[in-house]
Amino acid sequence: MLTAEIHGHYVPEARNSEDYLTSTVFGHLRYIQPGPFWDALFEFAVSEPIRDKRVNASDYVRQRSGGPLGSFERLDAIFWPEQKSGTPDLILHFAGNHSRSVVILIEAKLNATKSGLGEDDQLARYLRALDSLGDLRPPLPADAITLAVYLTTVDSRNELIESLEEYGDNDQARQRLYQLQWQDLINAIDQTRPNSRLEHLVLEDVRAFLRVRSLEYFCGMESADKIPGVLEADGEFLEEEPLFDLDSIPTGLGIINERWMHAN
Amino acid sequence: MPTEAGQKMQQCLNAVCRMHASVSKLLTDFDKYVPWPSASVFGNTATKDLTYATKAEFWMPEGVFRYLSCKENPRLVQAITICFVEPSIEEPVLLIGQLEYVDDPLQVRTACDGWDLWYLYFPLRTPWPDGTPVSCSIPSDRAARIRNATLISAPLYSVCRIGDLGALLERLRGAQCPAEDPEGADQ
Repeated sequence: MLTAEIHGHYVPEARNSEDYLTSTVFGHLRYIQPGPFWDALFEFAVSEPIRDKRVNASDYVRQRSGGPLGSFERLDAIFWPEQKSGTPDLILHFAGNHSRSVVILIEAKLNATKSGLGEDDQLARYLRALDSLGDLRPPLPADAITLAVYLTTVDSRNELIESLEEYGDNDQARQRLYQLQWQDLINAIDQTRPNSRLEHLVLEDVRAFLRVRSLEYFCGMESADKIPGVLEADGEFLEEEPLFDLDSIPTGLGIINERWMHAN
Repeated sequence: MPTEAGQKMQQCLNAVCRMHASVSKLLTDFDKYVPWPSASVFGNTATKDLTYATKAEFWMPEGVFRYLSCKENPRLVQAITICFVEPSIEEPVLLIGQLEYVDDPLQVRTACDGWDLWYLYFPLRTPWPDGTPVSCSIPSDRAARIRNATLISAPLYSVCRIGDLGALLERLRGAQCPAEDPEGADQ
């Protein structure tokens, strides 16, 4: 999917599927072992304010584990692990070199919002699932540092607040639930110096794929030198030789810009 | 046989499509800069009043908008509008505004109109200083719905990075606004 889409070949139906998106992006990123990329990425994952200050997921992990995500020995990506509480899209398990491993549960959305209301609130359910890691399948170390990341295309503050209210809103809960946008992935890749040729290739491909999907932040309007120049005289072809019977098409296009686009 | 005029027109159309793609990102990213948790008044809808009719002057949207209502105080709305097609403008215009509505736009469907910022700005009063927040006089046909509004404008193509949008919003929030010139409003 990734290479095909980069080159303009894609299945339209798949473009609206968050599962395809998650699979395509993280199916490649799982080959990026613990290193600067993951710290850069989760620095963009931010909590709801705790005493007026947002914390980011990378800092939270650093404080709790004593080291950055890049200092762990290995990364396992577990896609769609089935749980009693539902099926999150992805669990990233960073392990080794530290006494406690880190479990990051990711719920990804493309166009939809989270599922469930009230008690059934999806993110609240996943926070509860992370409270009892022993119940997860496959099993993960019960003493792992856990957090949930809600990955969306738009700002998701409202949804996080609802989930926190449902789960039990306090500082500890806020430190374990983060919002992240797909667009942040490009920023994280831009900030990363790859450790190997393979990492370089993977990150470049993921960046190209996300750009094709327009999953990047606004980065300025086009500069004048890339916009075609149009002169007043360029509109004269419409006046000279009608392309169609002008009685059958609307007149008054001049209202768009009186200087160059005349239909009558 | 390709024609020069047609190729130029195609280049223009392609540039317009690229402009729409950039503006779409701008609308989406606007959410991040609103200072409070919010809900979109019009959901994912960014424009309206397009004609599908065969007989039309044009089919392009005249503008696009996004209105975000404050979760704590839903009558308070921050909004962004981009104006593409209006006879009096020389280039696309970005408008950002903060409005206080009489009713909660999330509850009362008619409380907020996607073109509110547009009609606070047009017909263009001169001079309307770009980059300076202005406390708007509310047109009589909107005064029953809008309690007050502050607006800041900028040429769309002067926005080089998302930080520029943040800076405009900061200016809007911290504004000690001059009131709109009532003489200009009568023009």
